[in-house]
Parts: sequence; C-alpha cells; structure tokens
Amino acid sequence: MSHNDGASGNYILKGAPGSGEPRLLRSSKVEFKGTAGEYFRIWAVNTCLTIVTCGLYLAWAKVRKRRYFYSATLLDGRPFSYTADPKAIFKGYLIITVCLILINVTNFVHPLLNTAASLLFGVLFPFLIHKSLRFRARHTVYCNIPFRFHGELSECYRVFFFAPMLIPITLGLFIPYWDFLRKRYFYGKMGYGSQHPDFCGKAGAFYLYYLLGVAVAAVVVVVPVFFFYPLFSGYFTEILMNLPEKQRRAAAVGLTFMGTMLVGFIVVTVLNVILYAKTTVHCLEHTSLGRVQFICELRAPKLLWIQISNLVAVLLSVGLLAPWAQVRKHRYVAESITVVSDASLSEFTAGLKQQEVGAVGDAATDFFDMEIGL
Amino acid sequence: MIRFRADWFDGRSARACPVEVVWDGALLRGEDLKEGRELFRHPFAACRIEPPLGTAARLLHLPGGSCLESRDFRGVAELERLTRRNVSWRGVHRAESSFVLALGALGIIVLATWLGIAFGIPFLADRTAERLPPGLLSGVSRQTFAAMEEHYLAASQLEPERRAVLEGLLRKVAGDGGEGVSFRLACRRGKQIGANAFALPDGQIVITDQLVALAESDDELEGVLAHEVAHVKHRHAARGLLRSVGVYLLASALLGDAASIQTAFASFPMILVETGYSREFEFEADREAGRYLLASGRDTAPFRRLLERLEQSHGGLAPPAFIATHPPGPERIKALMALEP
Repeated sequence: MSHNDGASGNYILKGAPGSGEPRLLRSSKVEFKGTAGEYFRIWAVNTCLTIVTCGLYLAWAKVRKRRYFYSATLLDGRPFSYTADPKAIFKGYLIITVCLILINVTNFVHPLLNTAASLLFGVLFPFLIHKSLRFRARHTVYCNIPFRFHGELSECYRVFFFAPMLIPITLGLFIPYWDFLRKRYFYGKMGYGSQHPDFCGKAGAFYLYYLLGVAVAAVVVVVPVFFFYPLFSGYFTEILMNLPEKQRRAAAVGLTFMGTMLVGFIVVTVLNVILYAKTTVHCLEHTSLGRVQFICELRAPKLLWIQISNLVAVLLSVGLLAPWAQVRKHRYVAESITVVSDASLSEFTAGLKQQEVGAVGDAATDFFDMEIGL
Repeated sequence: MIRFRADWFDGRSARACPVEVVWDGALLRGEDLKEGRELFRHPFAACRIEPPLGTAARLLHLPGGSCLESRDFRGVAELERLTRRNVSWRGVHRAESSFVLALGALGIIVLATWLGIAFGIPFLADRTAERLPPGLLSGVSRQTFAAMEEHYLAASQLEPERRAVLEGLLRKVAGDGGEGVSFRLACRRGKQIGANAFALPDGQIVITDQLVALAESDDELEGVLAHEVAHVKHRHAARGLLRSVGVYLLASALLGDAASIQTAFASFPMILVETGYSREFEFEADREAGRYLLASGRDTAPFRRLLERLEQSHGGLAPPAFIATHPPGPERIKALMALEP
C-alpha cells in the first residue's frame, strides 16, 4: 500500500528484512530543475568574461557553473549548494599553471628533468586526489550541513599508488578489483554531517560487470566489422589501386590505423558507459548513510544513447550545444537517484566542525580533468 | 524595513525552520512563523547574501554558521539593492538572464578566440621567444638529433669532397651564427624519410643523400640550406613551442569545465591551429630563402624547381592542406614567384 501525503516525498509501507514489522519508508526522488537555455546563458556569459580577462576569471566561472548545477539539483524540494571560495581555487590554478609552464620549459633545458617531474607528479597524485575529495565534500552542502570525506591519506596511497602496481603483474585481471577498491574508497568514506557511510558492495559484482561490458563491446564491434568488412574491403582496394605504386603501402597503413582508432574509440566508449552505469547503481544501492539508503535507476542503453547523441550534437554544432549536452546528461544521472529512509532527512546533525581544506588538490585534479569516484 | 519569508537552517541539524525575516536598516531578525518567537538577531553588516544565480533559491549566510534559504526573490533583491550588496554579480546575473546579452557574449567569445589565435598568441609567443636565451634549446636539439640518427638516418654515401662542398655552401649561406647557435651540416642517408632536410634550433642542419641527388645544381641546394637556416635564425622552434602553450591555455580558458565530450573534441581544433602556425613558419622560411637567392643576384627558379621535383617524388599523396604541417607545393611555388620583381 502506498500513501501520498501531498509533500514532496511518497510514503511506502515496506517490511524490513528480518524485523517482521512493516516500516514506514519515505522516498524522495532527486529532481533537476536546470534547463539548457538557462545554463547556455550562464555558460556564455562566464566563458566570455574568462576570455576577456585573459583567463583570470576562470576560477569564478567554474565555481559559478558548478554552483548552478548544484543549486538546480533538489532533494525533497531543497537544493544542494557548492560553497567553495573561488579565491582559493584561483590560487590553486596559479600554482598548477606555474608548475606546468616550468615543467615544459625545463624539459628543454634538460629532458631528464621532464622524467623527474613526471615521476614526482605520479608520487603526488594520490595526495592530490585525497585533497580534492576532501575539498569537494567539505564544500558540498545540503540544508546547511556539509558532506565530509573520511578517507585517510594512507589508504589513499594504498588504493591509488600501490594497488595499480598489481595490474601489470596480473596481466590486467586486477583491473575490476582496482575499480572496486576505488569505488569502495569513495562511497565508503563519503559521509554527511555526523553520519558515517556504510558500504557493502562486492568485488564479484565488478567482475561480472566487466565481463558483461567486454562481451557487449565485442558484439557491438565484432559483428558490424565482420559484416561490413567484405563490403568495405572492396571499396578500399579500389581506392588503393588508383594510387601510384609507391603510396599504396603508406595509404593502406594509414587507413588501417584510422579504422583501428575508430573501432577502439567505440569499444572504449561502450565499455565505459556500461561500467559506469552498472557500478554506479551497484555502489549507490549498497551504500547507506545511517537509516538512509539509495535507489539508482541508471541504465546503460539510455546513458549510451545520451553520450553518443551528445557527442554528435556537440561536434556538429562546433561546441555550441555543449551546455545543452551537459544539462541533459546531468539531468538523467541526477534524476535516476531516489533517496529512501525511514527517518526524516532533517534528523541529520552536523557533527564536529571540519577544518578548512586547501584547494590546490581540487584545482589540480580539476585542471587535469581527472574523474575520481563518481 | 523589508520583510520576507525564508527557511532557516541553524547549521547544527538539517531541519528547516520557516521564518519571517525582518531587516530594519541595521539588524536582520528572524521570527519563527509557527511560534512567533525570535530565533536570531544579527547585525546586517555581518551577514552575507549569496549572489543571484539562475532561478535558484536565494541564500543568506548568517554569522554563527546558520543560513537562510528564500524563494521570495523580490524581497531579497530589494534588500540587496538597498544595501548595495553584490553589485557586480547582479550585473553578471542580468547578463545571464538575457538571451540577447548571452548571444552577445557568445559573439565576443568567437571574436576574441579568433583574435587570440590570429594575433594575440603569435605576438606574445614571438616576443617571449626573442627574449629567451638561445642556448635554452640546445639540450633538446641534441636529443632530437640523437633520436633521428637512431631511427630515421643512416650513414651518408656521398663522397667526402661532395660533403665538403655542401658544408662550404652552408657557411656561405649562414654567415655567423651568434650566441648559442653554431651552424653545422650533417649529411645522412634518409631511411623512410627519403629526400628531406631539417634544421634543429642549435644550428644543426641535416640534409639527406636523396635530396642531394634530387637537386640538379648547387644553386638549388643553396636555396634549401637558406630555407633551413631561416628556420634557425627566426627561432621557429621556440616560437612554435610557445604558441602551442598559448593554444593550450586558450583552450583551457574556453573549456573551463572539461567534460569527457569536450576533451576528445578539443584536441582536433588545437591541432588545426598548430599546423596553421607550422605552415606560417614554412612560408616565412621560403620567403627568406627566396630573398637570399634574389639578394645574391639570382632568381628563385632553382628553389622552385627543386620544390616541384620534391612534390612529384611524393606522388601527390599528401594530407589535406588544413591539417598538413607544410603548405601545398604549388602554393609555396606561387609565393616564391611573387617575390621576384
């Protein structure tokens, strides 16, 4: 039986496993109220200001754009907010830019310095991730209570520095487990207020998803290739025959290379989308924040369609449809999440005050476009 | 006196408390809507109004860590206006709320990007390259030469006398090098690269046996050497590098929020811009070679003939003009002819 008391949540009666008693569960669907038109204008004005100030405004532009997405995402009718101070992010960007320029210039004084710099960056990488996760969480606020990332630096190094070393040793079989470790680190340590999260996801599920992803990608690629190859090989042979002798080998190599790249790109895209959809659903539905649980209705086919049509639209519109594409994807992902609890969300408390986290880590991971966790 | 409705979040729990907020000119007070008692009282100077953004609820940060969330846009905007808060952000918000202004912003983006690529980046990069110490690129020159020797070059099969003649030609063309640059000629047999010549920033010029064989007179080779020397004298390597840095920074500013779509999508235009710069440098080197030949009493015909023969030896299979590092042969020949009086 289900009741709707007119508020933003629906009440559903559900039996808790093992308790023998029906519990009143309240479910709230995440809503996204942002529109492409609104975001396009915000994107245009802020990008214009960034260019006109020769990039100095960039930190403010990024914060404002992120704030838009946060504030348009509603849970129980209440928005999220992003409280990062653009000044801190600006400092982070300055440091990163100076480091990048120095590295590129010193590469020409002595190329070995570049190797040293890359190694240094590799060692610092987990540190940057750690700082970035803590910064992002600290500045994600809901109902004036911030999130809190509980991950320790030591565990961060275990997950992001030492664990990947097992990948080559196991000839890649470790990859799904590494993915599991990363996700467990993220979901299992992302708390809200004083509430610690609880993650009960399984590595086995990740292996299943990777198997599924590889199988689907193989089918998606292998079947058309076998089907179209006879057709195209005739066509290509014709082109090659029209070229003078000397160029044939080079042209054949060129065409094969381009074909492989295209196929590779499709495989990677399909695999990524399937994995993202499946692992996100698994992780969200196996994470609880006290008495709050999640339902995720993200589906790989729909997401794949969105990603591919977005890419085509952005390419054809020379980037003008990029804001629309971003809104579209964010809306699908956000609105696939439902929060379920047998307690009111307003019962969360803040817990101990968090220290300010420096923004360099966030700026660095942002600048290099590193996707961590989600 | 301004009154508006809001939800008050005390920052200790996630519970929302509907309040009526009152500003009396100095203080900001909040009265619980249900029970009527005063929940907070703060000097307005210590409060912060979050600038408006889209159609999001308005946020006010109060001292002590509590905050107000209000959908009474009129009330909060009025408070902002009277207390002269967020003046510039309100301007940004006005621009963001108008399609006309947003399209204007888009126009500025397109114009500024084009100006940056066509003038801004080249100007800044070239001026900076001028100020760089010439010896800066000697390390990479040696490294690149070593790499080329390993993969693309083999020992020359020209007679030593022939090589000496060519080295003499280079000395004649290059004159004195200046600090950090010393012109040296290396003759090599090109493996896959065939008839070719290239210059490294520290003055190392390499010419392949196949190109020497393709030339029908020493004048033609002099033209090639003049072209390569021009690459060094006009610091094309450093300028190209700095311009690439500029393009990367411009792309970062444009694509601030790099979504996965955009990173795959951005590299192609960046390549287009960079090959454009490369073709500009090739034209510049051609011009200098042409001027050198004209200045010494000859015409550009020798160099042109060699270019034509090079073109034919590659059989017309070249990457499309817009993505090639060198301009198409016919265009280079036309540009050279235009130099002649």
